[in-house]
Amino acid sequence: MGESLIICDKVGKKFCRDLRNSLWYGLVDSLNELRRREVDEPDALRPGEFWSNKGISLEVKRGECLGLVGRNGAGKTTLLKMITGLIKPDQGRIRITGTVGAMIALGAGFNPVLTGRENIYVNASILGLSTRQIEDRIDEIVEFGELSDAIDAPVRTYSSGMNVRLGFAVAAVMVKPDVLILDEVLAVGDLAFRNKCLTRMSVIMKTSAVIFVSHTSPIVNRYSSRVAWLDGGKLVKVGQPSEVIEEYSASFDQQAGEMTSQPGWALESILLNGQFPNEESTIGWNEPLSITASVRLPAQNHRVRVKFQFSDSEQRPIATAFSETMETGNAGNAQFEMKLDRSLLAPGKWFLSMAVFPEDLLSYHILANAGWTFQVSSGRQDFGTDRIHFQAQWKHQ
Amino acid sequence: MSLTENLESRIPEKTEPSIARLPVVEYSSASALRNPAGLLMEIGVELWRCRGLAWVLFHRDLMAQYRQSYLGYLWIFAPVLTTVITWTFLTSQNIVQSFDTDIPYPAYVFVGTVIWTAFSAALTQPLASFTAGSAVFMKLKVAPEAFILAGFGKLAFDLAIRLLMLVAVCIVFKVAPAATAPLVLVGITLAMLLGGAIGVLLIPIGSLYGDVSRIVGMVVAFGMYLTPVVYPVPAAGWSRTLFEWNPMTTVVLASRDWLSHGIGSHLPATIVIAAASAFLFLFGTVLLRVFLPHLVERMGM
Repeated sequence: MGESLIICDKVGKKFCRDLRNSLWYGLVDSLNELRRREVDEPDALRPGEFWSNKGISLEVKRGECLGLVGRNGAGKTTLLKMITGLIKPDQGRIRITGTVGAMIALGAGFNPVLTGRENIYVNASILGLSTRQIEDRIDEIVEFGELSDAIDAPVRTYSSGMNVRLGFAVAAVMVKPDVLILDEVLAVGDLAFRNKCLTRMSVIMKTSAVIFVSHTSPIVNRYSSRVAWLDGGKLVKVGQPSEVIEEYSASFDQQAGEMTSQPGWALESILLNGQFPNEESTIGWNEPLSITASVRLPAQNHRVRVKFQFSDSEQRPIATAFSETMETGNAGNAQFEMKLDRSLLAPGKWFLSMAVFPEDLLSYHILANAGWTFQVSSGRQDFGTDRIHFQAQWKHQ
Repeated sequence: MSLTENLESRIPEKTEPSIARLPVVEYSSASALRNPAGLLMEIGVELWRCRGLAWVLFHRDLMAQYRQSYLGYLWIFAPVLTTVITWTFLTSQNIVQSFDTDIPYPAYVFVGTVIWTAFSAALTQPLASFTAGSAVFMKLKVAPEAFILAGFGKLAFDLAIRLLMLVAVCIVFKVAPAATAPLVLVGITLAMLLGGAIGVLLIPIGSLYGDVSRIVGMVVAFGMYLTPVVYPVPAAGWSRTLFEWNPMTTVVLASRDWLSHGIGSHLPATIVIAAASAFLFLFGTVLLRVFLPHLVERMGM
């Protein structure tokens, strides 16, 4: 492992969500620059401000890849912006050695009216390449992006997939920096292209110091040598990828769930295969799954539709079961049951949420996302990272 | 050959340079002005480095602009022609009193409008280019000066085409050019320099507050009537004083003199304006660099 190319020393950055205040502070801070002094009280927050990053100390060496995980708003992007030198820290210091490449805004500067080829020149120039360097590599870019048929058509005729392929191809072929910043850019295109991107990046990663932000835990786990978990602007933990990611995923459980309902409506119980869904609940892949929800409601007949939603360990919605219209009867309570003969949810951790809507779906009676969780297990090891797995009939001739 | 091998073989093996040879940057809250020499050096290096990008951006905007249009380059002189036709119509029909000009009136308006447009376009262009490029330099470390330079390139291109038309206008209206006529180019450059200097100075506040570009639009529209663009400087009264205090009056009058008379009496004043504009331009460029991280931070909201 080589020398430290990225060093962050107790870095802090303030942020203000109130637009008017923020613009005003921007003006004041700019004028302070002219007085050649730092902010009057660097540690004090002005009205409306909060610490978007606080006390962050990190070091990344050549050949090392630091995965950065954290929820939206945890301060990951702010940290990356400071490391790339776009904004200044309010506290602490950042020291960067060597050339910096950032794959953040793929396809920066694309003009939809121009052809793919013309846009390669623009985008690559923005990434710092000379016309001659671009000319030398343009065939390689077109080939990498698998766009030889469409390269002389205007970019606005491209599908969104082709657009990101072009953007990624330019960056991937061009970028060979000492310090590489990747912000959620590896999840582009179809599976084959994604694999190609990851392979390409893993080659570059060997000779650079890399900081890598992704919401796809398996990818972070596979490519990072260490993982840093950022929450509320602070570093919660830095360490072995599997260890940190496990703790990070577990933190989702601790978050208070949401339960809202219209007057007179309430969810009284929810059962998954006859048990309250919790950390210990386990079901098998390709095995039956049933969910029963007991609901209290105003004592008259309602025509409702019920939805159960399954989200993966990072709380991304993956699968939904939505009922036809059902009648509740006048009893003032109702039980809704959903049954699957075979659940295709892949092994791993899952979250369950439910909702009850009136027939017209224009409003809701109950929305419940209370962090109910369960595990799917399987004896098989070959599922990979996809979240749904079909049990198919196979044939070969 | 597998996909992996194929890719690896195409990426040249990186020889690890010794750390002593690599550039080192340090970011902290300290003001960039603490090291003024370093800052000026940085600006110089960045400007030199971004010349290629500015050229590519200029080329991109030019191609994109005309690829979506049937009338193409006609739009470069349409605004100037409109002003000439409007004022020639107003004066020929005596809706507005006719003015005593030493060259045919349409040619008089044409010269004035070309110079004024050079100023007004250069005044609004820097902020417009900065805002248009912000999507890129808010995410990537790219010199925003490249976008501004590309904008000036576009203005220069438009003006070059208008100059060709000025030649045609002179021939049609039988304006005999003086030996100093090529100096009109200097007049146009000066108008751009003055407008550009004010435009660059306005970027920091204009990128934060939308009011600025609106105010500039109003001032420019009104300013044309305080400059001898479509009529001469009033003979007396407080409006004459306003004209006299307006540096663009000097630039327009000097350019007209150079076109059809000779060196005239405005040379010393134009030199002063040129020096002041150049200084303001430089000052605005430095200011923009110093403020840039704060602008990126606040515009990104």
